[in-house]
Amino acid sequence: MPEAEGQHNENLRESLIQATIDWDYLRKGKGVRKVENVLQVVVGRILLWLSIIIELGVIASELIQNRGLDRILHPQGFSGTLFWVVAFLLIYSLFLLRNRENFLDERRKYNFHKLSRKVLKGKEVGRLEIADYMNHNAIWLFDYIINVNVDNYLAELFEKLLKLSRPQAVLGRMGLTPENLNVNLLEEKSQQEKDKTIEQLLRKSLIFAYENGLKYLNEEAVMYIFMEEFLKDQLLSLQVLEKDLVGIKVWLRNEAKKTKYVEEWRSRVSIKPKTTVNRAYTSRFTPTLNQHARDFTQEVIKGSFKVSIAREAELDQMVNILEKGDKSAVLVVGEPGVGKTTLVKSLAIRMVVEDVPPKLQDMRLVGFDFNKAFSGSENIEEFKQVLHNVFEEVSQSKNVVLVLDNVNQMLNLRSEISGEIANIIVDAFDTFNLRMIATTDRSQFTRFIRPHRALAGIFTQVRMEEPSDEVAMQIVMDEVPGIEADYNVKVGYGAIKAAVELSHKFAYDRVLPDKAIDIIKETVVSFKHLAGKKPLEFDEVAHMVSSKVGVSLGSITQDESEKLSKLEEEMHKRVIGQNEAIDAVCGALRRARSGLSSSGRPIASFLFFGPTGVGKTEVAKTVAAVYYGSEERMVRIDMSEYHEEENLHRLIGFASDTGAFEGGFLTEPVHSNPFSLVLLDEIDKANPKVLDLFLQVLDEGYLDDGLGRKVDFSNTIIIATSNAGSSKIAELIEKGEDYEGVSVGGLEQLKKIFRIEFLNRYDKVIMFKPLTKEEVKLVAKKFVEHTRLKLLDKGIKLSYGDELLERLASLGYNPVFGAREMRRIVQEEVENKVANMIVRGEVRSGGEVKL
Amino acid sequence: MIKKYILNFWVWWYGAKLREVLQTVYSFWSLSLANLNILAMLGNLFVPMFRDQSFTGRVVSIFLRLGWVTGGTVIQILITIPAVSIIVIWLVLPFLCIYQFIQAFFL
Repeated sequence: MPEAEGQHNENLRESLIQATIDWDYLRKGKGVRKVENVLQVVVGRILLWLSIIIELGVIASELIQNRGLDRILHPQGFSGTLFWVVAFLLIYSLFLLRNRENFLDERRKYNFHKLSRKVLKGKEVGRLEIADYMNHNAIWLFDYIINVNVDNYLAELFEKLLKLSRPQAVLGRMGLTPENLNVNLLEEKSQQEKDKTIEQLLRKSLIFAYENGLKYLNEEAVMYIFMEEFLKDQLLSLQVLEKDLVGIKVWLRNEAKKTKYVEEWRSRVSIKPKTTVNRAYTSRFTPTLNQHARDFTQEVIKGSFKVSIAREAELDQMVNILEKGDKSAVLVVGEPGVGKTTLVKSLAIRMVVEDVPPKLQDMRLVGFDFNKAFSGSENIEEFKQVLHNVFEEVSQSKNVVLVLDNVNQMLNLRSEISGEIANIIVDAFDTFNLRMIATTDRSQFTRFIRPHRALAGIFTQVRMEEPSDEVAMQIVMDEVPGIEADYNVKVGYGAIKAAVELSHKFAYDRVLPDKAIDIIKETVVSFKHLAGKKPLEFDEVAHMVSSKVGVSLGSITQDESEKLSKLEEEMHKRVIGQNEAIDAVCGALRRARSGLSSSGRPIASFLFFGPTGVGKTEVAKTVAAVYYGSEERMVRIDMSEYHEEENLHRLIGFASDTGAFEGGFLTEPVHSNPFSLVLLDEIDKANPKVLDLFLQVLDEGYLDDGLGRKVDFSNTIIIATSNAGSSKIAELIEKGEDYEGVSVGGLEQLKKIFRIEFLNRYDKVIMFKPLTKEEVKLVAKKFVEHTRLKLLDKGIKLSYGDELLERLASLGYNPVFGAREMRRIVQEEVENKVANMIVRGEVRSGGEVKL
Repeated sequence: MIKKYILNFWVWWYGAKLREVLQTVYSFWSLSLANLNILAMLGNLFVPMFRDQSFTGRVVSIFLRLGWVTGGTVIQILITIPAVSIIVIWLVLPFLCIYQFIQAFFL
């Protein structure tokens, strides 16, 4: 912002803060301004139509009597008198029907748009009077509330506000109806001094209206400030958060801008050239360009009007770059679906309504259609010629800003051709002094544009970041009426909120608002049967997303609630002992499901340490099965393979000698299936540099892979295992230490291997103790039971006693390998024996085996 | 009451509404000026049309632009007459009604 403009804005802000309030004017309607105005309008309409009928009657009567209009023009007699009296009444009826936004009563009306223009021209603002900037609805509201004599005056004001359509729309944008709010709760706040409260409301509404580009201090500004000042607690209880209010502010600002642009468009559209030549006829026709292009400015002139929400900064950057003159090129970099084309269209709107510097006002914004030009060319030489002609025409016409949407497409050709195309663009830019806007996304920029350094060098980048959730909500809300009309299904506010919130869990490699819009469309298709019955809400969207990712989202169902409360029981069916470890894991899973775990980090992260064969991997498998629905949802990485630092790239992916991208063993499976358990086996054997990689994953929940893509780990559960400290654990147990004591001793051993910050990154470091004899017997029983059930399927009954379990426990467990050998021992000692008996015919279906 | 329903009528007719009428007439007038492109043509009188830099192109361009400006000016004058008339009628209409009424009733 130039210094002078900043100073003017500062002065204006000061004037707004010190604005006077004409209380006499505001209260003079005695609270019945609205009724009086309605009456005036009714009387005005009657008077208008009566006057017209009488005037026509008088003229007709004079003409029928062949007297001409002489008695009217030189008034004589009754008809002459009547005509002029009624003529005056007719013009008086126009006064009764006047636009009250321009003249409510004698006070002259101003608006903030005029004020902004005054400020921009550097004129002094001087003293401001708030009533001059209020629209008639706001004046009516304050007139009423100042005059009304009730205790709960805030409730009264709020009820009046909700009688107006725009404040109702504001509530609707937050998914609320007037019935959701309890006005009686405003009684306490109404205890504050009325005059002071109303004055504060007025002053804050004034500043809000100006700062957000509203034309007047209107009912929407009052509604917003009212919510912020008096309804925050209630809104919070209705799950309308601070960020939702910010979203409403963004929407109001955008609506005001849209209204302003439509007004400007109406007044300017007829003077805009309808052909491709400018108003002064100094530009040339552009036949080749017209054949292969889309004229964004013509689309706006014809009425296509889609304004970007909350993209003023990016638009201003673009305008500033293009304003520098010929030979200026902007590269808009943003992920697909972030709204790059809408941004370009918004620039076209600003050009048509002339909200850009004069240099750009009489120009065309034309998008070159690469696909059309390329497919229409017989060979690459012809395409290059078309491209050259387009650039030449743009240069000669002098009134075109050329848009190369997805410029990377033009370079995604064989490398030698891609190089030639890049050179053509660079040469044309240098020779023809073009004004250009190109768009691309980040990875395509890295892949196709950055390698052509000369090409990358001509552009000034404008980065488009993903909009925040609350802004995305407002964008999606504007898209929803179109979806509703297409599918004949009503989409509720809850559905929009769910689509935005859950989109982060589903379309992880895409951005808002596009991914949320797609989720709504997919849900609408899945729930077509609800058409005309009930609106789609949060649960329908959550159900659709859950079915895609395989994990329950949305509100917790009764079945799921029972399952979660009995999680420990479920896990103990598969894992013997290790109560402390299972308690910690179950607690973390419940926290994650109830939405209490930290966002932006993995759902949970654990480091399991202890002797081998005591159930660490089994717990991990059980977690995958319980939380993600299948053991298959586990990415298992043997960290002993990453002992050398050079192997690091195998985890995150790398470009091979042939130039192809080899996905990483860690990043690729998580990228393609982010709802997975990541099991890092024998983490103590990995190189410390490799471990550093996990510091970021554990802390921030993402990792950049070899291609520069951000791989999201926030939906993963990370479990690392280590046998470190096993001998110390055994030693302490022999000494009779309790679990806590052994755990502390084991942890001391871990600290010698891992850096403290690495250990601190985990949600919990859990010790797995060696199995007791009884626990080993239970492990043995689990395997034997498995065999028994298999035999039962064949009609053979297997019975066994405690002696068998004792024997299996002594054979299947040793201090080094734990119970790892148990499966093999059961196979040898039980399954092999039974198999021999079956083969020899000693036991048949219906028979029994005793061991 | 008198102020609200009688005085305010005159304030409105010769204040806010007159301003609106003037603005409407002016925007209509300036719209036709812009549509007729007179000022753009005059400002670029010696700039060749369609960037044709040849001698013939330049000469033809000057004559075309001059013709355009002349024709446009005539049309603009024709538009100015009703525009001014509307403003005059607006200014005199209430007084004309009163005058005619007095004339018919008293004279």
